[in-house]
Amino acid sequence: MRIARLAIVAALAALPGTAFGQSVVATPTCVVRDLNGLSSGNVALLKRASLDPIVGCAALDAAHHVGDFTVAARDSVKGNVVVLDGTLRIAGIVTGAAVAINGAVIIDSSGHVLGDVVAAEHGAAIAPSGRVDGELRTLDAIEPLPTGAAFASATGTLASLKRTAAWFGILIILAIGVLTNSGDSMQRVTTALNSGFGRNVMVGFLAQMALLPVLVTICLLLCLTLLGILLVPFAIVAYVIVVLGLIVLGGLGAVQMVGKAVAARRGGQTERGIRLQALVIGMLLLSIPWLAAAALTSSPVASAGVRTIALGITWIAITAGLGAALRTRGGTRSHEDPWGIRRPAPSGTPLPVAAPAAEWLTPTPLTGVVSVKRPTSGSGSSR
Amino acid sequence: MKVSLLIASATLIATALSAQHVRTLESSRLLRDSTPLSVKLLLGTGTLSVGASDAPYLYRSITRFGDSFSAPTSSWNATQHTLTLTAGQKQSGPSPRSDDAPDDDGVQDWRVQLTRHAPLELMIDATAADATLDLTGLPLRRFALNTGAAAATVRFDAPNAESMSVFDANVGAGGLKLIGLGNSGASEARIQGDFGDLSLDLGGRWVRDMQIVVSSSVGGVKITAPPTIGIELQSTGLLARESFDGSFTKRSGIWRSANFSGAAVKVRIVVRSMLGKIELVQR
Repeated sequence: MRIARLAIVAALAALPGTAFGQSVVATPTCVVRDLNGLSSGNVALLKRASLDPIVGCAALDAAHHVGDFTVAARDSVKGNVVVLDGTLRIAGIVTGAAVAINGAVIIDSSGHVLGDVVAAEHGAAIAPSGRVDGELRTLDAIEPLPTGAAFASATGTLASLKRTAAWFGILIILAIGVLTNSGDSMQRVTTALNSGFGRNVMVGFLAQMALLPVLVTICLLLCLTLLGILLVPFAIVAYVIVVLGLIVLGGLGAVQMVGKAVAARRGGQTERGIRLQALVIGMLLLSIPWLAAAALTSSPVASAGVRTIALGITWIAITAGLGAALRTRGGTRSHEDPWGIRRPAPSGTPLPVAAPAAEWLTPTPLTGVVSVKRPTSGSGSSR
Repeated sequence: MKVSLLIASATLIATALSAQHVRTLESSRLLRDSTPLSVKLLLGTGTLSVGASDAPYLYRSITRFGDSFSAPTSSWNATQHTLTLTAGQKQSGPSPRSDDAPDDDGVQDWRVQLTRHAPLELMIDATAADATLDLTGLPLRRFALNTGAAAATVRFDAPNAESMSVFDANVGAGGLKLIGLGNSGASEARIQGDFGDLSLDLGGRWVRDMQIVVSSSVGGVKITAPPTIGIELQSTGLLARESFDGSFTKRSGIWRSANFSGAAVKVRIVVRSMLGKIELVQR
């Protein structure tokens, strides 16, 4: 049952995505023809269109016209021609692509386009003997990519924040699942973390270093027998699931520890409520660096710096958690007794004495010590 | 409890913020001549429908795709007359969108119309996309279909104007429904399914004999044939059961329809099924 829970946790943890919602967008580099005479809005629109793979760099590397434009029957345009907010009618020859953004393209019967024809939002029409050597593409809208630096940074920042928030939600759901099903295990991990953070980090780091060698060793040992070879794929899958489960359990234990350290304890709360509160607060605290990195998306250098810090903090938390999860055998044992065996006390250590019965635990009055005579098996005085 | 509700609400809001919108791209290329061409259609996920067109286009592709997909692409080699149309790939990175765009799920519906006026070799690779292929009227010389985990329907409602060498369908786990194979004009059909039912309707106008090899790992195989053609069926299977509806006799391990020896068109079928029911109906 516990393995199944670990498997679910690990599967959830392995959901595809970028590291906590961060990502990088690559943009093509286009040759830009003269854009003088165009409004800043139209320049922004052309840049946006150039980033749309359906239009591409032809949007920028072209003779640009605003409003209706006609290539007359005996005219020839060398290269690409782009019309903004109008109809591009071609009765002559265009040696490149013919593009209409917020407009239509009409190829007359004498028209000949050697490249592609692209019309955004208003379609294209070709007379029966009109010629297009390339592809005709019509689309309902230019891809809503950023149109300028400010818009790009705002959009990118918003998107990054959304992704970070979405990941936060996913992790909270994951945490609730683990808390519900393996709350005690997580508590043991948290207790182990409290007992020695540095030691847990060390154990976790060593475990990370040993992950691959251990897997290879397992596979090699299995390969020693014919039956074992067949089991290798299953062993690999099981190993990955167990490792991911331990990482998630340990990571959430670390989150809970952080949350407990700062959470204000109110009266009347159940133990589970306290743990949930600690998890949410811990998750929020650990999300702050990631949110800061997302908020700084418009500044790549600052964002990268903060993201590195966030990654470092997260790695330390996960490493310590992994160490604690290992020390507690996946949260099944106390970190003080990971093998479930009570060790013999070292020589010279006094044996534990059983606590006296509750009725003999007399509170100490402020005014002095009350002497209470402990009853003995015999009656009367000792003499 | 309150905390849980707050968390659930936050998650829903985050999900809603990440909603996507859909664009439509229509691309086409004018038909220049009737030189035979080779066409590949590649699609990862979504839905695909293919048909024929009388319009003066080599192809016409209409794709409706969410912004979690990259834009569709096309590649045309005018020298070798090869065309490759690729639908958008699912992308894991950011998908910029305008906030006033209509929300929708990440979808990809792809409709492709191919010319009736040039002989075609058509290869379709639809990894995890439901495919509805109406090949009626397409002058096919060769056809190959590969699917992974999605259902496919292929139909020929009218005779193929070309003579097809091989009809090849390799369907993974979604099953295949084939209608009017007689109209395909193929001399050989190879149909392979891993999981899922294979339904073969041998209706249509038969002009030549055909050899059909059906391989199925797990799933039923149902073959429906018109009474005008002669059927010979040889089946091998580990745990497969056979069922016949019609006039069939078995000799030397091979089932033959009563009209086989005198039939103008003879269809020889080999079915290899590991687990499932093999059903042959001739009416």
